[in-house]
Amino acid sequence: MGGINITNIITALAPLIPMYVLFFGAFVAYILQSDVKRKQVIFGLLFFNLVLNSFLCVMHIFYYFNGSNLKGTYITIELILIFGLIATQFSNNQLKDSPNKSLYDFLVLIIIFGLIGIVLTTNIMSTVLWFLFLSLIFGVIFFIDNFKKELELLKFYFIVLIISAICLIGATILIYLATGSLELDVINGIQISEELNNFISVTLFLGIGLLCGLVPFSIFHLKNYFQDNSYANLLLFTIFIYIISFIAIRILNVLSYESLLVSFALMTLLILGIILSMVYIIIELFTHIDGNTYSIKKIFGYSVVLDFNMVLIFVVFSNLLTTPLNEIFLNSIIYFLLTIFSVKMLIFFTFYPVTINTDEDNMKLLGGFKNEYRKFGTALLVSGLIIIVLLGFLFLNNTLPILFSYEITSNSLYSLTASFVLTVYVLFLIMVLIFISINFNHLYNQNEPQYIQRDSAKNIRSIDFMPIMILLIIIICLSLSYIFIGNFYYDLFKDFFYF
Amino acid sequence: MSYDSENLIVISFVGIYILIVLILIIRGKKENRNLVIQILLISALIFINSFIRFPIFNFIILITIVALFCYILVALLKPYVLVKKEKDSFLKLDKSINENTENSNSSNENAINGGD
Repeated sequence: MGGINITNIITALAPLIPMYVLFFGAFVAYILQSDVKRKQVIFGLLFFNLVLNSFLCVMHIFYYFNGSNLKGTYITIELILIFGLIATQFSNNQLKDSPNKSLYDFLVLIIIFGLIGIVLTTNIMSTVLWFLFLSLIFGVIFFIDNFKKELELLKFYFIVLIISAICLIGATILIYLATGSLELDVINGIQISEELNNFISVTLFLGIGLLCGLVPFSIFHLKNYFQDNSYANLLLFTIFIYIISFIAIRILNVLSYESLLVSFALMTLLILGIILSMVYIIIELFTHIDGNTYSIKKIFGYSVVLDFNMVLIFVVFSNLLTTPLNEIFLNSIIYFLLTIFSVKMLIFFTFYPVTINTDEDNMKLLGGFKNEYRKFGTALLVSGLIIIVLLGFLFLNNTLPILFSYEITSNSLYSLTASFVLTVYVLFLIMVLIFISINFNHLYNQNEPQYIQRDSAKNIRSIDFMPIMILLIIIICLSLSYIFIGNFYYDLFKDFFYF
Repeated sequence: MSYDSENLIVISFVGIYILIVLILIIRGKKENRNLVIQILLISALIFINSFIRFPIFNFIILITIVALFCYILVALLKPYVLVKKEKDSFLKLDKSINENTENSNSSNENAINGGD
């Protein structure tokens, strides 16, 4: 213990302060009896963490640690904290007068703690364990205050959880046997045999993907989870899926020596997954084949699964490209991921008037929010504009030249794959626009509400509009830096994703 | 990150966990206390796992956590299994009651027939 340097210890501990605070704060939230006090404590904790992390984030990107390898980590933690704060705001309307409210708040804080943990860790076993632990907590949180809900609803979810646990733990043990280490930095530098690498990457892919609706047909186990959950839990699960897409990219890149065969097999699976979730969204939007349909929660959940598949298909496709094109394409992908994450949160926040008025999620029964909640309706319309302008125009403007480059067009298999990816992306944009326009029509353009109103509908205060403004500012900042700074996102996330 | 700071992180986190458990035990019975202690234990173990560079300890933690996972899953499934058993026993009870009534009916009928 001779050479303890205090500044070294402080720089090592600084990113962990949010985790210490959340861990202890979760316990405090469980202990506190009064609902009002607990809400204040949770808000205070998350706000403190947000301020601290923003400070560290700015220091790392611009000033103090130029060339730091933690930039991407800090930005991801910042996103988790912002969206976690929004999720706690949603959860305030749930579980009123319930004895389990303190347990619920405890679990929400533990989920945010885990999400930060999964981003901060560079140990593959910790990543896997965080993933499984969070999935388990999402299963537990589904039943809170409603133990009469039959486990039949989540039977598939738990079966899939067990299967993915076996896949992930098996893959971790294989990685350890092949490389002798569990640290991502070390594994990244060691090249293992191609067969083993293919096997491990497919196993990891299945383990992570089965639970998040990545592989076709796995969407079925999420059906009940989306529909019978509360809005707050759905929002938390959405954040979880997006953060897992960050982690999936990271793990896939550590094992990036996979063969073309595996890449094409994964792409086929992903395209099938995308088409399946598109079909399901259409079924939900227009028909009543699938039991209780027209459910906003389910449509939103499927659209998040769609984004997840879309991001990963781009990343797998980027493996086919060589270095200079690769970097430009990855830069666009990270921009796409961050923007779609923020836009989806914006769309979700326009459901806020629904959640404070009722528990109903059948959009045919909802409506009449036009006059009272005009700002939320405008936000929903604007989010459609954001998608068509930013993700349609900006993203395609940068990626089309790559898809039609000599490297791709000279190889017929590559050009076929590129055209598939492009078609799927255009379909994706159309799908999201249909989803937004139909939601807008039902929630804000119709005047015949049939839902059962809550006994004590909460008033919307001026502070409730803050998230909309914050999300819009985030999206504008993301786009400006994408337009004006070349390869900005690639440089930010280069170390985080092990490109 | 140096080994010293990693040791400090691990020790301080274990300290916080022990403090929390002590407070929870001293404060007496609160609902779901055991579940909360288990969840805190699992999250603390996974957090600490990130800072341990000896794979043997990593695997020991893995085994502990998988065991705790199974415990929580079983605890979660228990009410469901119990309810199902009760349902089955109710069905059996129904069946036996039906059989009894049928028997008694038939015996009554026999009695009536016998009486004739």
